[in-house]
Amino acid sequence: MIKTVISKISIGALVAFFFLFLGGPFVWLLGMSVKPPIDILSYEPRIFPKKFYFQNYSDALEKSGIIQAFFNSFVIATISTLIILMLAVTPSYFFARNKGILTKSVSIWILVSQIFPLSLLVIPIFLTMQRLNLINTRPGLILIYIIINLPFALWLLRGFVLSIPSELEEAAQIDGATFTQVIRKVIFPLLAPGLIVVASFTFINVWNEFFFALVILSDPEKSTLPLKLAQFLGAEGRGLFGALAAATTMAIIPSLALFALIQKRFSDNFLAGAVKG
Amino acid sequence: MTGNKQHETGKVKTMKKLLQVLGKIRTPFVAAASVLALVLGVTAPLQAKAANEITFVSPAWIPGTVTAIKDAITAWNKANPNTPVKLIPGDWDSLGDQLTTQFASKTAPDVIMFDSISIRDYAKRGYLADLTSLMRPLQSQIPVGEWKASSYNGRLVGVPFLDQTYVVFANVDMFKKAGVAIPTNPGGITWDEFAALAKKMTTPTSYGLTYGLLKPASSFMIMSSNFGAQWFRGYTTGRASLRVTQSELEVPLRVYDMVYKDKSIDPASLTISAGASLAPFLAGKTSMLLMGSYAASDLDVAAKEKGFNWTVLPLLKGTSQGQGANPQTFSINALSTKKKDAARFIQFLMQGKYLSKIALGDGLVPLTSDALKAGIEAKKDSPGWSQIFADGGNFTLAPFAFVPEFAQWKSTVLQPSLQQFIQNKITKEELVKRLEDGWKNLR
Repeated sequence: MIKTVISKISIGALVAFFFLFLGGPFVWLLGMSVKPPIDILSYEPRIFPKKFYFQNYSDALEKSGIIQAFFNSFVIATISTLIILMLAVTPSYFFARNKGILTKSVSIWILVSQIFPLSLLVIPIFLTMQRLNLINTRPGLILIYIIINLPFALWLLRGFVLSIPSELEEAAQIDGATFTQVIRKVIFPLLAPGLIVVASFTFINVWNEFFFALVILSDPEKSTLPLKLAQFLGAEGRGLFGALAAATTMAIIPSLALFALIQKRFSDNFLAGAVKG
Repeated sequence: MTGNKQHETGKVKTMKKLLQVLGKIRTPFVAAASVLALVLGVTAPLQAKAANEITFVSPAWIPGTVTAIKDAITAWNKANPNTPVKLIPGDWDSLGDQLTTQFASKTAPDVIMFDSISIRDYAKRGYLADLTSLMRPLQSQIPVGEWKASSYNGRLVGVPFLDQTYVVFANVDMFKKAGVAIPTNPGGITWDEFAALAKKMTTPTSYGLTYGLLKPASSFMIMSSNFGAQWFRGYTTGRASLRVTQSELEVPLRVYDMVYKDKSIDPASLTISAGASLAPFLAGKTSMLLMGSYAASDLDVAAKEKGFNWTVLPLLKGTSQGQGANPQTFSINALSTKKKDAARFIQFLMQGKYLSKIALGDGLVPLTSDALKAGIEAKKDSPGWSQIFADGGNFTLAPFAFVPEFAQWKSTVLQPSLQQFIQNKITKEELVKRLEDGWKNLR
């Protein structure tokens, strides 16, 4: 009995600790977004100010073109994610169901490609984009995001396909289903959780990406959200922290919304694809 | 033989099966390609820009400065509708990365706002236009040291327009309460006098000084000119050599003593950035703050909202009051096809009425005599600002500003070594060794 109580208290304390650890920075951010500039410089730490100051939100919205950047990020992240999903499904099925040397080689290459630091690839990718006349274009950036994120998406989806028993496909074929029908009516529905996991990973990666957006896009009208957020910061640790916190709070809403929507499926299925291989 | 044949037949069968599978499930490929093609097709025309448009990248971020720059651009565009300027906002932290790739791919903007040390490497690589003759009309208005600091091999590669001094801000009310007079000697306050003052103002409840020492390299280097520090030698004839002598070490050693011997510097200073050091000063935890003059713009806000009473001490003095010049600059891309118009635009921005507003927004010293006059007039009621503007005559030539590899050495060697020294993790001798070896090993 005592053991059970101690165990429950320990688990509760652990959960509370994790809540503070993960939620603390967000609460701090929220508090900073409603502090007047003078309170942000205050010596005594205080999570929320005595008097809320919403000017930070209007400063962020009006002065920095952040709505346009928000829209740009949303379009770029959505299109990149959709294309990656479309491109990843077929090869991941192929690699999961075929065990030949080609599959092994490609799988190894996918893993190796994840080892290269992205900074090494910046100049070659930049020069390639230039030759393709895609510098300072959103399609150019989307293309880069597809190239960067596709291998991981493939690898992850392959694990999900492996978790689907091939007997299901065979049973459907025995019942007279064509190959396309098997894919559409058997594989796709069972792969849905995997697709959601891959989509959320890709969307959030692209949504937060800074460096390639920085070097590819020079037109302020095409800027993505991370680029705009960086412009709230100055040199030597200074910045418009109130407006930055307000803009960041608004910027994380899509990620939070996405997680809230898919949280159940995400937690149920994330590990399902990870250990197959 | 038969075995081989069977094996080959098996292979062919597998390949056929694979092709069949790929053929059947090609729809997603086609769909993805279509979406990409659509995106490329729909958005490609957005790339077009006006033929004579001058692109101008600026990392300015303080609202007052941004507004002043935008106002100047609006006025330019109104007066020059055939050569409009387009502002591209950047940020100080990543502008270097952005420009490096853009120069390499020949897509850099026409006009670039940056600083004299950061542009030196671009000048060395031939990315920046020679502005010497284009900017001749401005030369008489700009201090010689600033002009030289912005030149490379005798060619002006950036027009210096703003600079900052490192100054000591004082909390007037704390000094009054302590019954200590605020020094006003126009000849400057010596480092010894300053250390004694900080000690005097240290009480059981407050420290004499706060000084953001998380990244001490910039301020130490700039103020080392107080003691005639050279750091680099032979920079005009080839690869510079580095020698760290007592002159170069004076500022770090004096600050070290104030932290550990006098205990007059708030120890929290060791772990906070310059920006964060404002908080203890505004909270009355320290009576003085050593920081770039740009803090004046934040202190103005504090004065307005909370009645914070501040001023600036006379400039610190070693063997001189000199501080190394590292001005903000306007440069022109060497590949720009609109160099003359871009130069006209820079001259337009450098007019006193615009430059003084840009300087006041940033809390920096404008470098043309016209703008300085306008700034002094605008802030004649503030003793702190008057002192900052008066300090503008003390910028000297800093040899490190001429060394293209300085920026790399500063971030990879100087900054971490100074951090370790000021945090009492390495000795003076170890500091010297690390700085000199680090320079030798720099590629």
